[in-house]
Amino acid sequence: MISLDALKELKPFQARSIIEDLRKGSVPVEYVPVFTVGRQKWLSYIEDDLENYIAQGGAKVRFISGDYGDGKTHFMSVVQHLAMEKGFAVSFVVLTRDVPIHKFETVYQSIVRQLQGNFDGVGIRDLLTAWLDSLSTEFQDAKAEAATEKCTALAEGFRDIPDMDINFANALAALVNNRFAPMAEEEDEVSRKADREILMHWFDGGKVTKREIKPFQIYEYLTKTNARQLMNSLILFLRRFGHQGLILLMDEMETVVTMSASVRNAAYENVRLFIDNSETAQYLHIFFSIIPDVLVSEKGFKSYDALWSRVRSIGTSMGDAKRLNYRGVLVDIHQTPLQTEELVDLGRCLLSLHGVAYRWSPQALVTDKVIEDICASQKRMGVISEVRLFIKQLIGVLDLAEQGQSPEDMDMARQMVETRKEMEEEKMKQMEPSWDN
Amino acid sequence: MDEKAFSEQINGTKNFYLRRAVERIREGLFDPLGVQWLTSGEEKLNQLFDRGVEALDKGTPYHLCVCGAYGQGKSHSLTYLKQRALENNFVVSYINLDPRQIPFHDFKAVYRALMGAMVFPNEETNLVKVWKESAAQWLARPENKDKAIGDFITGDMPHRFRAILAAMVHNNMEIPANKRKLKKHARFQPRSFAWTLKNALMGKEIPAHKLAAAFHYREVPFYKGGSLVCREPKEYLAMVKGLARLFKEMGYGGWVLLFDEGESIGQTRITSRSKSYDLLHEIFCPERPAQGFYPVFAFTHDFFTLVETEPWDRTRRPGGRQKADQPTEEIPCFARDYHKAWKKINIHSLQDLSPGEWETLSGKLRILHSRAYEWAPETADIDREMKQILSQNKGAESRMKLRLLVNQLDLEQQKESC
Repeated sequence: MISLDALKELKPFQARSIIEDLRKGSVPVEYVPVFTVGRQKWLSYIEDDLENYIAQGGAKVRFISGDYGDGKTHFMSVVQHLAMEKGFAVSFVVLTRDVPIHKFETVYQSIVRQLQGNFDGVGIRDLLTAWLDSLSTEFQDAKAEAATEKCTALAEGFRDIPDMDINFANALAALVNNRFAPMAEEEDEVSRKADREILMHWFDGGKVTKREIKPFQIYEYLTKTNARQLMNSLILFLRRFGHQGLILLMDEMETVVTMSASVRNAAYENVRLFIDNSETAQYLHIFFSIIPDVLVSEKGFKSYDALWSRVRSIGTSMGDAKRLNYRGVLVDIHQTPLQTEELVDLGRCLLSLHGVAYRWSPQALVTDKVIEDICASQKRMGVISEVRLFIKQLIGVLDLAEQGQSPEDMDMARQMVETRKEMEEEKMKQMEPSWDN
Repeated sequence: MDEKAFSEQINGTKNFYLRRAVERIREGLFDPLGVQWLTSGEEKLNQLFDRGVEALDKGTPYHLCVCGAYGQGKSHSLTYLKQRALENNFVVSYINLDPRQIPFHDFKAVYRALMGAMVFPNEETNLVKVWKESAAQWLARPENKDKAIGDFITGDMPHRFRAILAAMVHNNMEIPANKRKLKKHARFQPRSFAWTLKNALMGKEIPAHKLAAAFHYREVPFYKGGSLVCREPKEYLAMVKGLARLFKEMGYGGWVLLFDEGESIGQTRITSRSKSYDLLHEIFCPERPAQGFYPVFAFTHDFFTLVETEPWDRTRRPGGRQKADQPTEEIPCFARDYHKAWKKINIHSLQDLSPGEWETLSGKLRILHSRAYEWAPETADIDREMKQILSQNKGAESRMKLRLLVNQLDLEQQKESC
């Protein structure tokens, strides 16, 4: 999947930002296709789902399971790029203390803020602006009466979309009026701008008063009760604006495990509702990333019967534990670690990136043998699946090599232990309990 | 459904729907087509449903509680009953109760959900359209030539909704164009009336003054005869019963209301539970029968365990400000001991399928999977493997067994495509 042409196209500052991100252990989401290897089978089944099921009107929830450093976020970023290539709108949400899954209305706000698709920019405001721009040709040179009639016809069209929330439809109609309808006597540019801001704020899921939105015939603002309905309406709108559907990627769901029992239950109930919602939702694919702990620990999904009965692992089949179901609800990337040759491929890609970033030629010093040695060390330690460890280790070697140290003089085993220690500390930091629930 | 009919149906179905059925079973969900094709034990469910229809025909109240563990097929059974009800000319609404989105004690939210999920036997979902057609037919009958539409709408509905239904049938008042700009006709917005009435009927928050304008210009004679505000949960329950009766008058069997996830009632706090029990009591043990009203609930056994163990004699201090010099009387948390009161409710406990039924189901599932993903399984081998899986997982709930079977089919297909 690595495109060497794309690598050559990169400017030094772009390559450098990728290396900086990887050094920190984070994923440079924008450039993911540039250095992706392996996991083709998972991706081909996901691609098949997107084309032949979700785009046809299906809805589905999947869990991407992998340990820290296995490449969950990276995998999700690949799915994000894949989905956007296929014409879907995508929202990549990292579940944190500020965006907790047990508060769906907060998650919804994050979903609309992170929305990307066939429009410039990120977020629902940019989507709506692009949509209004696309309508402007219809209103060009239209006389006042004709413009009013067009606005009315559009508004009725929104309201007639089956299953469209009436508030969402009215908000769209109000935006069209705000942009294209002739000005009323008491209106001016300033008041129009203020109205537009109120509407955009409503679409953002922001706090608005009922008095502010009533003139637009919007009677509800975002609450936990209507968040799901609004999301389904958003999908209907996205379809109307030329998208195949919506792909939601929710990263770091494992943070739920450290929360109190009541918060955990509310969170699991929401996940369960997401799954059950796929009975009624359309054109929607949701991915949650989790660590295996969420599936095995007593505070994980097991603690919530209604969810556990839906997602519990199917277990082994016919006594053969190694058979993975690539169509299954669980995308178990921990069970499908990258092979040595794939890691070597990735290593070569990192070499090129490092070379472009720091304007040097690492290939002479850091050979394939060095990369294979790193893989062998990881294998010996039983952590071959940890891609992040491999990347960090290799970048460390490249940094030292660029500063004049020969890889042959480096103590790989010791370096690996140190890198792991560093990663363990990061992991502990992530797992710290939150006190604000 | 026998194998021949099943094969015929499957051959005439678009691939997407076949695939959706398998996808949903894999996720532990159910699918309308899956229910249609893969239901076992239909006879028992048919008997139960027909018993209810008979009771309603006799004018006696009826309800049904489907009880089973998670994954035992409650939702599946409810969906089957939904299809059965539609075949028997009933209007149907199927909703999932949920403590956050559709809490049972907030019957207004329940009403909204029921209205949103309404399906008529001819697959029509637009109540307004059906009602207008039906009302026009009723008014056109010779015996009704001196009657108004108000005579057709049952009197036990809340006043607000009676007026809405009447207004829907009337046309807008004619106001000459030169008079429309007068101040007294500021509320005349003929284009928005239909939308206002439709959304008000669906239970949306439409202010009374906005409705009053629609009633005035649609010339509803009785709209000033009562309050147009409707807030109490019991008023919405009365509306549901009133609509069920109206459907019967319109020529349908009545209204079958399917409430899934009934156990979520027990996940709320005590004050909310108290309100929910009160509403349930009015459904299970009504003082007078409501014609055409056919509620069906799905509960896990946990719910009835909770009902058994609730502290029915518990009391609480009344809310609001208390006078310091007067002792406050504690009030009971619950209106009655519902465990005792519900001794005679109709409960149908779900049982696991027999080995023979599972074998038939496995065969159908194999055909469905092979058509959905367009592959040709080795029939004898896969049947043997599926049988083995079922014997290894005898104790598992139905949902789990189905998932295991789909998983096995997935693995076989992936082996083929390697």
